[in-house]
Amino acid sequence: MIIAGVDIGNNTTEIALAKIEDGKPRFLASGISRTTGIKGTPDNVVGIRLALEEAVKKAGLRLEEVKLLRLNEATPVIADVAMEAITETIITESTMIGHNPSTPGGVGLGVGITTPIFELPSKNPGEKVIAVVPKNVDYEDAARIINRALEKGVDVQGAIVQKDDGVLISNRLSKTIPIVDEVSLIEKVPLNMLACVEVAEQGFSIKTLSNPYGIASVFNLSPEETKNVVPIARALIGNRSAVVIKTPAGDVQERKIPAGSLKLKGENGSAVVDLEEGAEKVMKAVEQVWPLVDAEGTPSTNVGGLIARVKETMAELTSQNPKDIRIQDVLAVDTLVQQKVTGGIANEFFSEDAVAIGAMVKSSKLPMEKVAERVEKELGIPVEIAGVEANMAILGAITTPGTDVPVAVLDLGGGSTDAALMNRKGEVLSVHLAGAGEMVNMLIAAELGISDRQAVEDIKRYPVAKVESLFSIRLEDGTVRFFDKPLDPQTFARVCLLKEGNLVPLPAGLSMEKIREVRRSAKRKVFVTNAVRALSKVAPSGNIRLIDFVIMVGGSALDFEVPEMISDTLANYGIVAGRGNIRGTEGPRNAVATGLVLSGWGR
Amino acid sequence: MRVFEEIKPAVKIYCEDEELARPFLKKVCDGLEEEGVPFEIEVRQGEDPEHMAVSAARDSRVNIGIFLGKDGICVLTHSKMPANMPVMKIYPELEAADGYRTVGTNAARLAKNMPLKF
Repeated sequence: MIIAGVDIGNNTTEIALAKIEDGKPRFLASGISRTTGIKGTPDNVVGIRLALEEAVKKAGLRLEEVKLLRLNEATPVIADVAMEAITETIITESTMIGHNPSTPGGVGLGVGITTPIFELPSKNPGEKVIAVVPKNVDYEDAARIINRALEKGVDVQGAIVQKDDGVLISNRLSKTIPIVDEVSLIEKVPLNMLACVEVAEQGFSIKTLSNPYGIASVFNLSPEETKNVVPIARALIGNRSAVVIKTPAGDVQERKIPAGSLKLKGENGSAVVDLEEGAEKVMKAVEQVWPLVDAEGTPSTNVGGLIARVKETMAELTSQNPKDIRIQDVLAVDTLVQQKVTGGIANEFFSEDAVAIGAMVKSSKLPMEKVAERVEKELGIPVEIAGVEANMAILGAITTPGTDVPVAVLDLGGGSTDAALMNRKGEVLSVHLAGAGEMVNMLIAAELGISDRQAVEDIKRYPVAKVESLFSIRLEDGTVRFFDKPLDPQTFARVCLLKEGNLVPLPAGLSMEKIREVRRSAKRKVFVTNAVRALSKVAPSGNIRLIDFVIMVGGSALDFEVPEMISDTLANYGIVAGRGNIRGTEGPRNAVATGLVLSGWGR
Repeated sequence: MRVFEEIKPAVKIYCEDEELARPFLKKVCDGLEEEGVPFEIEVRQGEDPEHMAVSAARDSRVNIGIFLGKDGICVLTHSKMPANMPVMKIYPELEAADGYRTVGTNAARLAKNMPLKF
């Protein structure tokens, strides 16, 4: 008889196909497909069929020959992630151009009134001006007009240019003035206002405009006003060029939304943590009140909005009332998020402190019977709902060569990190925690300021390399690889991902070190933290050191560095931990599906 | 004592006809000047634009050459690139004047080891 174990996960549906001979299963093939619809809903049938067809084809069978499907009792766990910045850079009373053109012109510091270039001839000798040059003015004309004004005695102190013409203009002027170019939104530069342009020498960064007192001296600011320019100075640190323009107060309104506090209700009392105290404090409070019964945020604060959003998504997924949603676990992570500076001109971004929160909700039992019914009807194969997911995962995982009970299984998934422990008596204890692959994606996206989901997923999954010449790349570990054929000039000098033998260029301006650091720290903050958290919750008397073996399974266990990071950390507790190899062939995939087959036909 | 040849490190531009190609040539030079990379212009006639660009590149101390034909065809290449695979090639009828400026910018960025503009 041919039977199949079917595991419907949050992201993938996996199949283990086996033939029962003399009451013992012999595995034939595996199949995998994307889960269609939310897990535990009849929409899953499409994914099951695809995965099953793949497995059947590999085994050289026909679909009709499969006589029984064993479906898992999927854990009714849904996880979601959200993030909120707790600081915001708002500029009032002044504005700035803080972008960093690769080739600004001239050098020095200039202070004057912003003046359109066409109005230069009508200015009087001795007037201090900053010329504003829109893109319809050719650099030669711009240089000629400025030179003529200089001859006449108008004190042109600097220029703001829309096109990439800074050096060209500078080379044609009779006097060296600082020129900031590539200001794409030049129409937003307020005219007839006092402004300061600074360009540092090559290899240096600006000194005056990145210093609050520097700005104060240029504009004669009062101590109170100086406080308001601190965000400007901070945002300009490290730039080679910058412009700060003093505008009348009230242009940009400062609004402060308090970060708020998180109220955690547990079975052992409750705790309130202020989000501004950081993620570490939140996690400590979660441990204090564990097991968690629900979490709430103060209304009309950042965290209030964040928790409300999580609950709303959950309610939508499970078609329940948001009020009935109870949050069972929270993972808070400190992060930085690239946020647009309110009041900037050239679309400046600035890293703001943020807290990312992963939350997990246990919904009522998933309607697996409905799924089973639908599968039976559409595929014409009898379906059996078998065992709890955690037990199945362990049964499957211990088919990894070199493992034995007692053993703990870490299931590193997309939505949640699960742990299960089986003791010598065969009893299983399991836990589901919020935060896994999707949270890593969110952290990477926020810290690098990338919104393309596929790009973020790729950054998580593949190492980076820098194209150093038309024929060679330097890899993350510092080694150089040469190619026989010249590389695509598009990738020249860019940081690229090594995706399946291809080079995928990443947005310019991201350095290899930064990407690697962000990627690794995101994985560490989510997976390593959760591995320790999950294991100590299932460990005998809560002592993680009493666990001997840990097998990592699940999609994220395929990652090229997560299992090593976890192994490394767990080694400190004297635990043997490694990536599972289900049935000695499947790698960390297919544990639950395999367990489903084994649970029916003994080991 | 060894005698060093007096060749400046510069991007080499082979131009078929300086008069005819002047507007294009000016744009290419603008691109190079804005990026702050020195260049040299030489008048050379030749059959195949790709090959002319490669010989310009071989003639350049920084291994980067540009060929600008009198018909406006413009090829940017590196001396290590095969002749049939130039870094950039543009045709006058397809490109706005900006294309020529980009050739200059990219020649300079190749020399500076910076990401190219496309």
